[in-house]
Amino acid sequence: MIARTVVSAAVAASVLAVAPAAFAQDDRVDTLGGLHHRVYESPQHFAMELRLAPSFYPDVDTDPSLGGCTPFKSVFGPGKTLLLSGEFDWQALRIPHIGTLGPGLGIGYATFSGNAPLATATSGGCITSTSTSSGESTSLNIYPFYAVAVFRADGLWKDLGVPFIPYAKAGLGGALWQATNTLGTSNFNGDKGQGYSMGVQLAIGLAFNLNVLDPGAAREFDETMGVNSTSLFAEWTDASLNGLGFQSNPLRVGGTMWTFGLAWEF
Amino acid sequence: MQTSDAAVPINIFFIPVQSTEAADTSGAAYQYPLNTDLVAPPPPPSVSLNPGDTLLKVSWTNPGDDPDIAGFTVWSDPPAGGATSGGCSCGGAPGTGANSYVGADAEVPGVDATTRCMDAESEAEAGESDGALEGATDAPGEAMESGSVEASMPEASSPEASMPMPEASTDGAPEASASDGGTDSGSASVPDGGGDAGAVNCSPINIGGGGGSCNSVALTGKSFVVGGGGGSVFTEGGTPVYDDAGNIISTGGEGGETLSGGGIAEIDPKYKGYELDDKVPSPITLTGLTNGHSYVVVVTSIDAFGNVGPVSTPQCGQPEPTSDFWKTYKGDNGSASGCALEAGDGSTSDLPLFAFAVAVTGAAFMRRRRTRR
Repeated sequence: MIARTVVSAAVAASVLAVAPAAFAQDDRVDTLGGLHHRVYESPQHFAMELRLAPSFYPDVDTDPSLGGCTPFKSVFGPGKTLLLSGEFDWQALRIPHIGTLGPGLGIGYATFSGNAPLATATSGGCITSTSTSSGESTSLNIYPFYAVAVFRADGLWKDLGVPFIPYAKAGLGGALWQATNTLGTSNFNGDKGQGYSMGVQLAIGLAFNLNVLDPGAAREFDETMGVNSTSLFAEWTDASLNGLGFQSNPLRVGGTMWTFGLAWEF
Repeated sequence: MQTSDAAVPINIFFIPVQSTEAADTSGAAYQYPLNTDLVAPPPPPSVSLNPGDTLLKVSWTNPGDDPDIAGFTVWSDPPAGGATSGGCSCGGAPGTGANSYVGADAEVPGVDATTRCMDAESEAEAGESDGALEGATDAPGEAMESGSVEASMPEASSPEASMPMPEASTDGAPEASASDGGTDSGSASVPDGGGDAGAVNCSPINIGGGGGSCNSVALTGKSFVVGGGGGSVFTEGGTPVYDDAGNIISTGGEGGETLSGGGIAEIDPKYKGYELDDKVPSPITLTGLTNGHSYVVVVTSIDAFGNVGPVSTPQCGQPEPTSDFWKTYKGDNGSASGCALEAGDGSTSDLPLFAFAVAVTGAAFMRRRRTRR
C-alpha cells in the first residue's frame, strides 16, 4: 500500500513536471534503436531530476591562501544547508544492453546567512568572531551550475527487469556566488563580494526504478504522458570548484555532498 | 470632555437664529455625526537597538492586536546624514551592545503615554482651547487637504481640532495620516510633549529636555515613517520646519531614500488594513549613519486619525564596523576576488570563457553523435 502510494505520488508529481515535454512527442517510434522495448514503451530520449542535497557545506575554508583560517565557519558556523537543484539530460546515445549516454545541464541554489559579528579581533593571523552579533546580516548565496556527460546503465532494467540503475556523471562545474550584508553586496576595499568559480563536477549514483512497484500505473503513465520511468536516486556528488586551471583564485563554493531526488525519463 | 482610544461619535447641534427674532429651538436641532479619536496610541514596547556598520537595527515588541495602531514612526537624533558632532551620549563601551541613554531622562516628555498633552486638554477645558486651535490653524505648512489630515496634527490634541470631516473619517484617514506622518504635512507627525512638560501646545520632542548631554540637539530632523501611504513605505523626511518659537512644525521632505530592513513588505498591508499580527514592521534598519557616533532613537505609534503618540523610552546606539563574511574572508587573506578584478580571477567577466567551454564540449559531443550515425 505504501509503495503504491509512493508511486502514485511520484506519478502525480511527474504529470505536473513533464507534461509539456511529453506532449511534444508526436510519434511512438524509437529512432535510437530501442530493440527490446516492450509494447507499451514510448521513445525515451530525456531525463529530468529534482535534486536535494541536505548537507551541503562549501569548501571555502580549504582555500590555501587562508593559511588555515576558517572565515566561513567563523561567520556562518559549522551548520550545513540544503542545496536545491535540477538537472535536464539528453540521452542522446543508447548503447544496447548497456545504457544511455548524453549531456546534462544542472542548476541549483543554496544560501548561508547569519548576523555579522561586531568588530573582530585578529588571533594568530586569523580574524576571530566576537560573541556579540550586530544588527547587520551577512549571507553567501551560491548558484551552482554544471554541464556533464551522463551515463546511465539501465541495461539491467531494460533486459532483466532489475530496478536498480547505476549511473555516473562527469563534466564542468561552476557557481555564481554573492556575499551580501544588510546594505547589499559586500565590499572590501572596493572588491565586491560577487563572482563565480569554476571546477570539475563528478558524481556517481544509484537509482531505484519505481516502475517495479506498480507496473500498471507506470505503463499508464507512459502511455498517457510518455514517461518511461520514475526513479528515486541517491548520488555522491563532488563539485570541486578550484579554478579548473585557468581561474587562479576562485572562491571555493563547491563541495562534496550526498544528493537525493526524483528522476523521470521520457 | 470625552476621551477614548477608539473612534467615538460626536453630535453637533445647530440652532438657526434670526437676528430680528428670538431664537427658536423647537425642532431646529440638526445632528451631524462626526467620528474622531482623541487619544493617540502608546508607543510600542521594548524598543531596542542593535548596531551594524553605518546602521542601527531598531526592534520592538509586537504590540498585539491593537486596532488603534495604524503605523509607527521611528525618530533618530541626529538623523541619518546629519551632524556627527554633538548629539547624545551613550553609556557603555562600543562593541558591548550598550544602548543605555545618558541624558535627562526625567525631562524627556511624552514617555508616559497617559499624560501626554493632558495639560493641553485641561487648559482647553478651562477655556483656553481657542489658543491651541488657533495655533494649529495658523501653523505654517498646514495646507491640509482634508479634515482627516488636519485632525492628525499634534496640535489637534484639543477636541475641536481633532474632529475630522465625516467623509475623511470614513474613507481615507489612514492614507492621510500615513502620507503626513512625519514628512510633509505641517506638524502632523511631530510628536509632542514639549521640552518642558506640560506645555499647552504639545511642543516637539526635545530629548534631554532642559538638561543632559542632549540638550542642544532636539529630536528633530528626519523621521523614518513606517506605514506611509501612497505607496511610500519608508520615507526619510527632509529639512525640518521650525516655527517662531523654534518648535518643529514639520519634519519636512517627502520621498527621499528608501530604508532597508526586515518587514518592509509587511508594513503596507498592516497599515492599510489596520491589521496587527506577527508581521508588524519590526525590525527596521536605519542606514546611512556614522560609525562611532551616538544616535538616540525613539519610536512613536500613529493611529488611523494620524494622532502621533508619545515616544518610547529613548534608546542610544552607536553604529560600529562589522565583519561580514566577505570582510572576514578578505581579512584572512582570502585570495578570491569579485567583480572589481580582471578576468581570470573569478569575476563575472569570466563567464563568456565558461560559456565557450560549455559550447565546445557540447559541439564535440554533437559531432561525435553525428559521426556514429
